[in-house]
Amino acid sequence: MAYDGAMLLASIVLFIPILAIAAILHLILRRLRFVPAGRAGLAGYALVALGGYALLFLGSALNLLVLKPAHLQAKYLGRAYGTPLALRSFEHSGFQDPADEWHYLLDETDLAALKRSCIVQPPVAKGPEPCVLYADRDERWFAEVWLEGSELRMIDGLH
Amino acid sequence: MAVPSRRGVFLLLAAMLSILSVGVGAWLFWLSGARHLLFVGGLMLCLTVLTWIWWRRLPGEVVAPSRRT
Repeated sequence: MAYDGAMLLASIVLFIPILAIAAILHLILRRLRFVPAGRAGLAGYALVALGGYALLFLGSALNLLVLKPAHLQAKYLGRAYGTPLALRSFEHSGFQDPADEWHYLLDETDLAALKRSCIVQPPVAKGPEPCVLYADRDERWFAEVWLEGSELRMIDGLH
Repeated sequence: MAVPSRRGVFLLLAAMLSILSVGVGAWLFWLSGARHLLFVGGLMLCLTVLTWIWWRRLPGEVVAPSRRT
């Protein structure tokens, strides 16, 4: 739900620029006769503006579901074990301190390879200990990558 | 095969973008419950169909050039 909120905020902030760019593009398309002149052209303008929003949201989805997690996995684990097709859950949270969490379902080979590089953790009183693969933070940022069952989980954000 | 008119090309691109948005939006909804892309894609798809119905009735480039001759 926070992802919807973040995109709503982006939509409001970019409302005027998107409408302005859509107007320029619409004029060009009308001159080239891709869009009819007159009142019927209004539908073309609405389509161009909606297309701008669709491209904005698609770009954001591409960044948050494909590019950013691949880059972070390469940075924290050495390579991207979780692919977009193995993604099972994604959560975007926070407003001024946004954080993203990805859950990937891994195959047995990758799971076994990653289990060998667990960071030794102090024993927890009860329950299975999580296999932490990476954990770091500073005064503003935090990141953690761990295994839970057959899932690779990664969180990265601000605090 | 009929060659699409310029308006047809515009509507075809709009339809392709809206179908892509609905597809990726459905994936995003399944992953995180976010509806924004599904909403915009669905709205754009509906508007594309309505625009196509509207523009078909307009005089001008409705029929492909190869058919007009």
